[in-house]
Amino acid sequence: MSALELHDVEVEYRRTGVAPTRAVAGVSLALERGRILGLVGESGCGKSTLAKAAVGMVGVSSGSIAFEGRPVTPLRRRARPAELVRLQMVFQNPYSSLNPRRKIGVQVAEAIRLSRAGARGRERGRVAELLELVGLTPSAAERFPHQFSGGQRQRIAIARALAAEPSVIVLDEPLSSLDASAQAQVANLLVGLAQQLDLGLLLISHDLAIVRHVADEVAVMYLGKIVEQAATEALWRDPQHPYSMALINAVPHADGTGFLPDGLAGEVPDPANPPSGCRFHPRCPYAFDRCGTGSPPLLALPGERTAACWLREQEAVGPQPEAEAVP
Amino acid sequence: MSRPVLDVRGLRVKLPTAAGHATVVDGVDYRVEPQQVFGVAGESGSGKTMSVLAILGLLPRGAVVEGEAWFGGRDLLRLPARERRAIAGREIAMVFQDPMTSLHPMLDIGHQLCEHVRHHLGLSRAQAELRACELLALVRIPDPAGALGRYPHQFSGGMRQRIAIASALACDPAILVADEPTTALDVTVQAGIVRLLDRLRRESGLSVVLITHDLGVMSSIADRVSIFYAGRVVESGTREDVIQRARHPYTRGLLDALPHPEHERTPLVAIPGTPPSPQQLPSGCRFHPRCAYRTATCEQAVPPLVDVADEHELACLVDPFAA
Amino acid sequence: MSIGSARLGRVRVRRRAPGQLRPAWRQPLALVGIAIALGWVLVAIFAPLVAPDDPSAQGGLPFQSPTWSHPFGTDVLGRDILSRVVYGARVSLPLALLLVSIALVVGGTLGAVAGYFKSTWIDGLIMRLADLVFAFPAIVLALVVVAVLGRGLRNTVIAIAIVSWPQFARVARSLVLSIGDEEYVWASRLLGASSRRALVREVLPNIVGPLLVLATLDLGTAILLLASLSFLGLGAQPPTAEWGAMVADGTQYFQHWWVGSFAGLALFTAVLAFNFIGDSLRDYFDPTTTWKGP
Repeated sequence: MSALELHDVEVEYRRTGVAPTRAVAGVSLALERGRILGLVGESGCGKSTLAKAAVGMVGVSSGSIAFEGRPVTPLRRRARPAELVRLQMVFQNPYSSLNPRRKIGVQVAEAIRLSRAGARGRERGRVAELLELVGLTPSAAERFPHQFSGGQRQRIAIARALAAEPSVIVLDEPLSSLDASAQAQVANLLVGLAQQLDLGLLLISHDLAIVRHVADEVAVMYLGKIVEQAATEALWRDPQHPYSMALINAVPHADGTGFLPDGLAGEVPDPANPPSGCRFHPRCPYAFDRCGTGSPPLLALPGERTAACWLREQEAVGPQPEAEAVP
Repeated sequence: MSRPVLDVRGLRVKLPTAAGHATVVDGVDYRVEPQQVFGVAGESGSGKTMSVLAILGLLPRGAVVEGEAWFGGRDLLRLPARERRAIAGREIAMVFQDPMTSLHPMLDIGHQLCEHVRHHLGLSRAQAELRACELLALVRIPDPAGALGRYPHQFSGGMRQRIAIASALACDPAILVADEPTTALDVTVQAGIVRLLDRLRRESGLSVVLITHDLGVMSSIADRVSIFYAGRVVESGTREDVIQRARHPYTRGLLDALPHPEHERTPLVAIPGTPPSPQQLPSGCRFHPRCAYRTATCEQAVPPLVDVADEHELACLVDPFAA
Repeated sequence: MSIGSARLGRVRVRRRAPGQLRPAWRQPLALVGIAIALGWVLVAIFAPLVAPDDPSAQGGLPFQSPTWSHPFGTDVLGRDILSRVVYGARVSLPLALLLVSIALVVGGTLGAVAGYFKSTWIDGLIMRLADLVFAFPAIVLALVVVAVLGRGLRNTVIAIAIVSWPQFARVARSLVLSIGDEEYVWASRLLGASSRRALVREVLPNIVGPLLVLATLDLGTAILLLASLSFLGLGAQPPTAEWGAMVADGTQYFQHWWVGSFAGLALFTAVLAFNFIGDSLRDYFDPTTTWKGP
C-alpha cells in the first residue's frame, strides 16, 4: 500500500450548455514515503487540477484516490477528517498562500492547533522548531508575510504544512514564482526534508531541469493523461514518448555553445475537444495511422517504466497497467 | 569592427524615492553591433531593465539620467522628449514579458497592427493590411489574414508574444529590445520564440537586446553577454567567454545555481544572501558581501571594468578564476 | 517600515504592505479631511461652549445679515444661525454615524452569510432583498418608510439604514467569495478547519477593512440623506436645528442668502471631509495599491 495512490482519476469541469470537460482524463500514480515524484507538463495539461484533486480540494468524477489506505474525500463544510490531515499541500504563489494580516508565528501555531499535532501549550516551541527546520530563525515568527521575500514565504508555507506532521505533501509549482537563487534554496530544502522526515513529495512543475535535479521518479502529463513515467535519469537519458522527447529537447543549455532548443509544432488542443486516438498525435513527428484511431494505454516497459505510445508496443512486457476503456 | 548600432557610455539612472534619489544604474557602458543579439543578464533589481528604459525615455517622472546613448549619429539622451519618443517607437522597439503590455485587449489584431503601421509609416489602409499580414507570416502565425480579425484573448500565450513581436517589427526597427520575452511561457513555446528571435536576427538584419535572468536562453542566441549586478556591469564578453570561461564570482555563482546535467541529485548551489537594494549599496565592490573570494580591498575600492582577454571584460579586483 | 519591491510591466513600482499608511504629510487630502472632520466633531461635542447663543432662542431681530453679534445672521424667528449650525452638528454627525454603523453591521453580516451559503436559498433570499432595495432611488424608498413609520429623526434613521444596508451586503458577499478562494484559506481547510472556522478566523478579518472604507464613504451620503429628509420636513422637526432643515428654510427666503447658505456649507464641508478620509482609508486597506515615485 503506497502512501498516496491515484487510480484512473478523472476530474471534470462542468460548463453550462456544453458537455463537461475532462481536465484530468484517467491518471494513475503511486507515491511512497521518502520518495519524490515529479509531475511535469505544460500549461493546460491538468496537473494543477490533479494536485487539487489529490488532496481533496476538488472532487473526482471517476476513479479513486487513497491516502494511507483511506479514501480521500473532497472537502465539504465540515472539518476535514483527521486521518487526511497528514496529507498536505504547498501552493504556487507565495504571495497569496499566507494570510497577509497575521504574523507568521500565529499562522504556524494555528496550523499546529488545527491539525491537533501538538500538545497544548507547547506551540511556541514547536513553531520555533518548524521555522528552524525550514531554514528561518525563530524570530521570524513575529513578522508579517510582506516582510519576507518570495523564497522565504514559500519556506513558511512549507513550515505550515509540516505543522500537521504529514506523511505526504503535494506541491503545486512551488518554485515557479521564485528567482533562481531562491529556487535552489527551496529545492534543496525539499530534498533534505523528504529524507529527514521520510516524506513523500508529489512535486508538480513545468521546469524540467529542476525536477530532474530533485525528483526520484518523473511522470510526464499531456492533455489530462500521463504519457510516460520512469526513474528520473532513465527518462532523461532515454525518453520513450515523443512528447517527453520534445520537452527535453526544448530545454535550453547554458553551456555557451549556442545550441538552439527545438520547438514543438502546433498548439495544445482545447481539453474540451481532444484529438481522436492518441491525444498527442497531431503534433507528433512519428505519428502513423494507428495513432489517430486508437488511444494507447500506458504500456509497461522493461526497467520499471511506462509509456503511452504505439511505437513501444513491441517492447511492452507483462500485463498492461492501465487498459484504455475509451479511445 | 563596424560601427555599433547603439553605443551607451557612462549611463547612470537615478530614481526618486522617499529618501532622495536611488542610483539603480551606475556607470554602464555597452555597444550593440548590427545583426547581433546582445544579452543583458542579471537578477531582478540589477538595473538591466532600467538601463534600457532610460534610453527609450520610458522612466517615471522625476528620474535622472546621465551619460550618452549614441544611435544613428545622435545622442538619444540629449534629444527632447518628443523626438526621442519618435525614434524610440520607430527605430528601437520593445516587447515585454507579458505580451498584453503591448497588445490592447479590446481591439482586434488587424486594428492594432495597422494603426501602428499607418501612424509611423503613413501607409494607406490597404497597404497597412498587407504589411500586417506580412508581419504575422514573418512570426509564423498560421492563417495571417484570418488572424487580423481576431482578438488577443483568442490566442495562446506564445502566439500573443509572437504578435507582440510582429507589432514591434512593424516599422522595421534597427533594434528589438526583448525584456524577459519567454519567462512566462512553457518550455516548448519558449523554444519557439527563441528560434524566432534567432531567425529574425539572421534574416532581417535586426539587432536584438535580450534582457533575461535565464542563462539558458541567453546561451542559445546571445552573441555577447553583459552581466549586471546592483546597477553595474560586472562581466562582459562573447557568449563563450562569459558562460564557458566565466571569471566573475557572481557569474560563476549564477551558473552554478543552475541544475547541471552532470550533477544530478547533489544539492543546487545557491549564492548566499540577496542582492542589495539601491538605497543600501555596499561600499567598494557591490558583490563583496556575498562573495566567497573577497579580500579586504574589495570593501574599499570599486573594481573598474577592464579587459582581461580579447573582448572579455571583468570588474573584479581578485579575479580568482584567471585562466 | 519595510517595503517590498516588485516589477510591474516595464516600470518598477513599490508595493505597499497592507496596513501601512503612507506618511501623513504625503496625503494632503487625507489631512484636510481629518482636520475638518475633527473640527466638526469637536464643535459637536463642545457645542454649548462654541455657540454664542441658544439655538432656539428667538431673541434677536429676524433676518439680520451677518454682523459681529450674529456672524452668520439670524433667521425668520430671530434665532442666531451660527448657534444653529453649531448645534446642527450634534444632530447630523452622531445620527449619520449611528445609521452607517447599523447598515454596516446588518448589511455586512447578511452579506457574509449570503456568501458563506452561496447558491443556496439563503443566498438567494438575501440578495433578492438587496436587489429590491437597490431598485428604488434611495430618497424615494426612505420617504416611503418614513411615510409608513411617521415623521421624526428616529424613524428617519431607521429609513436610511434600511436603504443603506444592501451595498454593504453586496460588498461583504463578494469579498467572502473572493477571499474564501484565497490559498491561505484553502490551507487552513486542509489543516482541518471547518468552513465555519475558516470563515471566522481567516476570511472575516480580511473583509473588515474594505467594509470600513465603504462605511466612511457612506457617512457623507448618510449626512446628505438625513439632510434631504429633513429638508422635506420629514426628518428633524422644528425647533431642532438640523442642517437640511435649515437649507429648506433658506429656499423660502432667497433674498436673505445667509439663512440657508451656511448650513449648506456645513453639509458640504462635512461630506467632503469624510470622502477624503474614505479615499485614504481605501489605500490603507488594499494590499495591492501601487504608487510610483515618492
